[in-house]
Formats: sequence, C-alpha cells, structure tokens
Amino acid sequence: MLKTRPSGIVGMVVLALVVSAAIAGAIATPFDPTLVDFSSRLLPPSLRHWLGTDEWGRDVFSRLLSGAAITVSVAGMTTLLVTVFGALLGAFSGFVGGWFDRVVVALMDAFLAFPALVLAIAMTTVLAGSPVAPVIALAVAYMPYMVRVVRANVMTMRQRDFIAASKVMRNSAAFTLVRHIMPNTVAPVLVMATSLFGWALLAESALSFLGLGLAPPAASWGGMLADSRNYFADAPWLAIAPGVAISGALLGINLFGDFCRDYFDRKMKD
Amino acid sequence: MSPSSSTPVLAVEGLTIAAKGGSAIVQNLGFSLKSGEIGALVGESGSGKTTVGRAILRLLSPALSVTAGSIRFEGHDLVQADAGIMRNLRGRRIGAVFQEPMVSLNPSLTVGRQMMEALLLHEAISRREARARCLDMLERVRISDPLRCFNDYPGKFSGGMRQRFMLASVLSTRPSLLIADEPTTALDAIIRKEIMDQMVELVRELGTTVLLISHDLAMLSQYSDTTTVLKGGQIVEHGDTRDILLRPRTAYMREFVAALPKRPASGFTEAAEEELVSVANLDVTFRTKPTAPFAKGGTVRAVQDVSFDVRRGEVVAVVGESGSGKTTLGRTLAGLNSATSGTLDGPCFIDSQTKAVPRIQMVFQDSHSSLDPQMTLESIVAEPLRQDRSLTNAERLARARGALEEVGLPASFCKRYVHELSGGQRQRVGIARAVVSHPALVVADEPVSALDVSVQRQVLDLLAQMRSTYGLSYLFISHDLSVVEEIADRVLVMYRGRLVEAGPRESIFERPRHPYTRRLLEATPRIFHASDDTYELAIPSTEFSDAPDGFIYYEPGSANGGGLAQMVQIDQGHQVLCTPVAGLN
Repeated sequence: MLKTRPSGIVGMVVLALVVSAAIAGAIATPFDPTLVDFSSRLLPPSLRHWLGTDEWGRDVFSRLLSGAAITVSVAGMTTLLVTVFGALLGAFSGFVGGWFDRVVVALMDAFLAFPALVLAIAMTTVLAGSPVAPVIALAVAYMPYMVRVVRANVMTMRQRDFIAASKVMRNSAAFTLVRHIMPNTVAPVLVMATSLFGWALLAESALSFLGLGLAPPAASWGGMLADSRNYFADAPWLAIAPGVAISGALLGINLFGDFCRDYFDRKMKD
Repeated sequence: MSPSSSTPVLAVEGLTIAAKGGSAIVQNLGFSLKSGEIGALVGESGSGKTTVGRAILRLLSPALSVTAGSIRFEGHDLVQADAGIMRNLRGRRIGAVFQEPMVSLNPSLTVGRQMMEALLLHEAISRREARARCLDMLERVRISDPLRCFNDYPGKFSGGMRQRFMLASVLSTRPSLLIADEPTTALDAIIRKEIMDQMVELVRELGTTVLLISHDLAMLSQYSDTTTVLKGGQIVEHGDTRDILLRPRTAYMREFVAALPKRPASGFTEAAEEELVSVANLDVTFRTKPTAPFAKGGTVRAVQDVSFDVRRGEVVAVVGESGSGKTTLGRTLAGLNSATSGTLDGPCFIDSQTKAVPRIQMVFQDSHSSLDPQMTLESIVAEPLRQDRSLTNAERLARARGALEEVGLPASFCKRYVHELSGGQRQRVGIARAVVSHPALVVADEPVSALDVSVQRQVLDLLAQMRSTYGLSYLFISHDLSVVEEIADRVLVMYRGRLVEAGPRESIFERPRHPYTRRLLEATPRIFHASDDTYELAIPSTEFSDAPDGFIYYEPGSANGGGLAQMVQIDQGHQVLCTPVAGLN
C-alpha cells in the first residue's frame, strides 16, 4: 500500500527526522543551546553555526534540536495521556451507557464549548511554573475529541451481533469490553492519536510563542519564533528555522495521519 | 394487448460487460422480450443479473462498461444512444423498480410531488391533469386513501406501501418496458403476494413488457412467462418459465432446483419426552423513546402471553412476518432480553445460572456482524468453552479446530479472519461456535435467509447433521415457510406479538385453522419434487373450518376480546388462538 501512496512515505520520513532531532536534542547538541556568547551575536548561517546565531549569540541549530526535544515530548506526552484516558473513558462510557454516559457527554461538551487553545491558556496560567503545565493543559483540552470518537465507535459496535453472541456465551460485560470492543477500536484510536499529536505540537508552539511554555532560557520552537520578531529584517534565519521546523513537522504528521486512516479504512473494507 | 406482436420490445444481443481493465461480468448475453411479455432473469448473487438490468437503463457503475453487443429498444440501441435520448427514454418509456423503495424515494418530498415530477417532465400536461393521473394510479395499486398518501411523506409508510408508490409512480407514464429488480425481496410473504398480483394485473392491463430480476424461483414460476437463467454472467438456459423450473434439463438447473427446500416424507421423528425449555405466559415489553421533548416514552409489547415448550432433540420453528415478535422471542430465550413477566423453565436455564458452559447458543442471520473481525476463526469458535474450567487453553483450541473441521472448514482455516470468508463459510463458523460446547438448545435466527439457494442447501444440511450428531434442539426462527416445512417438527405461528397457532408441522401445513396462518400459507408458493426430474408448483389453498364450539378465532390487533383470547386445543398438540363468544360485547 505504501507504494501507491508516496505521500505516506514522505510523512514517515519527516516524522522520523523530527523524532531523531528530538532525541539528538535531548542527548547532545553541537553547542550548549543556552550558552550566551556576545562576541558572536546575530551571525548568519555558516559552516560553524549551520543556522546562524541569535541576539544572545546562541547557536540556532542547537536550540532547534533542543527545542525539538521539548516540543516533541510535550506533544507526545499529551497524546499518550489523551489516548489512554480518553479511549478508556470513551469506551466505558459508550459501553455502559445510562446516567454515567450522560454525565461524561455533558462534561465533554462543556469542555468542547471552549476553543482548545483558550482552555489551555487558562489552565497554564493556573498551573503556572510547573514543567508539566502545558501537558496537562493540552491533555484536558483535547480529551473530549478522543472520548467522542471512541464513544461513537463503541456505540455502533455495541449493536453488532458479535456483542450479542458474547452475551449469549454468558461472558461478563468487562470481558466483552476488553476482548471484543477494545481490539475493534484500535484503528480509530490510532488515527485520532496521529492527528492529536499534530494538534498538540502546534498548540505547544503557540503556547510558547505566547510565552506560556517552558520558561526561558529553555529553547522551544514557538519561543524562538516569538524572539525572532525584533530581528526579522537583519536576521531572517531566526524566524525561518523554527518556522520551517513547525510547518514541516505538521505537514509530515498530517501526511502520515492520512496514510493511517486510508490504511485502516481499506483493512476494514477487506 | 396480448403477447403476440412479432417484433420484440427489447432485444439484447451479444452483450458483454466488463470491469475496467478486468474480467467480464456478463458474457455474450442475448435474449428478447415480446410486447406484453413478463420475462425473468434468474441467478445466484454474482451471476450478473442486476448488472444486465442496470445496463439496459444505462446506469452501470463507472467501473463497468459494455464492451460488445447491443441492446435494442423501440428502434434505439441503448448501448450507443446519446445521453439526451437515454434521459428521454428512462422514466418515460422504460421504468424501473428496485428492491429498496426508500432509496428511490426522496424522504423530504411528498409522495405526490415525486409522482408528478416524472409526468410533468415527460408529458405535456397541466399540473391538474398530472395530479388526477397520479391519484388514479394510486387507486389502481389499491391504496385505500390516495389523497392522504399523495400529500404525505414516504417515511411515514411501510415498505410495502412505499413499493406501491414506486409502482404507481413508474407506471403512471405508461412505459413500454418495466425493469423490476427484486421488487418484493425485502417484503413479507403476504405483502409480497399482494404487490406482485397488483403489478402483474397492472402491466397486463397497460400492455407493459416486464423484465423481472429475482432469485425467488417459486415466485417467478407463478408470474413470469419466460425465464433466462444466468450463471457467472453467461446464459445457462432460456425458455418457458414452467419448463425451465419444473422440468429442468441442464445439469445446473437440476442442481439449482434440487437445492430448494424439500417437503419431507410424511410422519415425523418422535421427539424425546424430556422437556428442555418450558415457556409460560411470556411477555416482553420494550420502552420506546419519546417522540417529542417532554413527552413520555411509550411501551411496545413485542411478545405477549406466549407459552410453549421445546423437547430434547426437537426442532421448533417460529414463523411470522417482520415485527411479529419472533426474533424477540428467540433473543429472550438466549438471554439477550429479559422477560417482563412470565416464566422460562427447564434444564437449560438452571444450568446457565450457575457459571457452567452455557446450554443455549445462538446462530445469527447476519454472519458478518456476528463474528468478531479481530479474532482468528479458532479463537472465535473456542470462546464458548472459556467457562469450562476443566479444559486447558490448548484443549479448547483443539476442540474448536475439531468443530471447524466438522462444519467443513479444514485446518488451513483455523488462523484466518472473518473477512477472508464467503457468506456460507461465515455461517459455518457461526454454527461451529454454537455447537462446540454441546449445548442442549440452539436458537437459530433466520440462519439461511441471507444465503443463495445452493449455499442455503449446504447450511440446512449442516444444521440437520449437527442435530443428529449432538441430539440438539433448535428454535428455528424464519419467515420462509418452505425452509420451515423441511426442517421443523413443530411450528409456532406468531402475529403481532402473539402466538396464533401452534402444532406439529403436518397439522399446520395441511390443516391450518387460524385465518392468519391460512393467509400466510396461501401467500407462499413452493416448488415440490414430484418425480425423478420434474417438479410441481404448489400454491396452497386452504379451507376454512370453524373455531371450536363456543369460540371464534382471535386476530391480534382487533379490538374485541383481546383480553380473553387464549390458545384452544383443537387436535393432538394443535392449538389455535381463540376468544370465547360469551365474552364478546
């Protein structure tokens, strides 16, 4: 199937690049990303500084790598939290129904009434200072999307006869949920998780752009973009590097997400 | 008009239809229909019969195209004709009725508006005339209140009514050719007969030529003049309908007709006396959703005051139309619904309350939906053994493989998944799952209704074989009387949630008493094996006989005497729903 969808390959390659940049950023970078060196301020890209330096003389490439580590781990942890808890809550809520389901739906609808980013900004302000603040804020903001998708899936599946068959076999509800319903929701959950990762990555960048991410001097893509604004005329590489990183990563994730969706759709139809 | 004019209305010659860049779906097909003739196209699913109908209408899916041949209709070649001519012919000269009328009707427009649309488009008449013609057509398809239907939306009506609207609408432009693709397949027997009768009467009157596409041989042999049999896109046989179906000559047709359900030799196997299930005064009520905000939801009595028993080794069939409560009854026995009142007794239920291996299993109509797509076949079949603590996992899988082999799926199938199987194979897996734990009773809910005749034959044989191997009892739920006549020892007839007649198979089929049972039997033509290679079409006619002294037959739904209605014994094991004359006001 990959052969018929080259964009899927592109997506995977970009995603692999982003993840390896993040890993490199966490282990070792060419320069210390927070090292201030006034003798080399605002240098253009060169062999020594591949992507130039910023107004504090810090190496942009190193900051980009270290920013990748932060952005990817925030987006990754958010996605993980949302996937695990959202899928569990959605599956349980859709399966048992009744008043529990009604409460969950009402709660999720209340959260959905706020734009995710606004909700995240409010929550980061409350949790100010904590390094996990953006993760928790984004996880809460995106949870309703996952709950809804999984719940809807489980509710249609509950009508299928193999769930009735499980009841005829006197299987417990818990067993039916774990053995029959969960494995059949893996595909939509994975598809949802890929797009979530993209949303979370973008939202993390937006939060840092607004100064609500991790405190400086820690590097983040959104923060770098924000800092570059004053020097755009003299040092455009300061804006181009994080800008290309953010949009490139998003494009890759979306291509990969589309590929996943088509793959599972086709598998379902077979 | 009589079917005597010499030039055919429709002449198909050398028609070949192929998938884009792929194999041929229909190959070198040729047949013709004379004016006023009702011709049938028969075949199993995948034989290409629907594709031919679509090709005549030039409504083939874009993936298919006509690669050779011609379709001649009233001087046009429908293969070559340009889109403008086709638009003009479709609807005006060629009408079409399909299986699911709701797909062809727009739910947001009134019935009348949709009927008038075709007339106004194709004929130079005023709205007033069009309206009058439509109302007249509605009356001719025997709709009792045409004006009300004319102004209402299609969603309010039953499937049978919608199909009547379609028929009235299509025939209102007096087309010379009608293509009817499985027009009554989705309908209950009694409605099916009514609609077919009306359709045939109307087209004979209007002189319309009909191409009837169906898989239902008994129905075709009653209504069509000539038949073309398709197999894998090629003609197997063509000729007079009765000749082809009742005196089949080709090997394929012989097999095809022989696969139909058989009337068993008279005298039935004596079941053991042991009572497996005893149901008394069962009521199942569902709550319905409120239709308006703040309104209270209503209740529906899906099953009302039903009593019967099933003995060990016996096949009890439940027949009735859709909505009669037969499926609810079966699901209640299998533990999928709970009884609102009444009792379920017997060894099956006592065992299943302890957590032992369930004594009741179920086979579903939709084999695709009833098997978990993420599991291998062996783990699907092993699942009912999960609660048998005396077995190890390996032993469970081994028994599952044994059961799969027994239903005709060799070891190579064990690790496969549901989507790799055909419909018949899936139903075999469903049966293997139902019998692997050696239950006492299997509730089979329309297990062969979705299958082609030849596959249906295999599954019926398999069910019979499983029954004799394991001494199973079946509660066999079906709307198809010919299948029931083959397999059942006793028959329960349900209508509107109530049991209206119950008795041994022979009594029910030979001496039906209740008016509903008689209507049902008369609406179900069946093909019977007469001698070595000839068959005979039986359209049962039943005789009225009086209800027992002091009683009259009670029709569920009629206002009078429902509360007093009871099953009255009229013969050995034969009961019928009656109400005492004394209790009527």
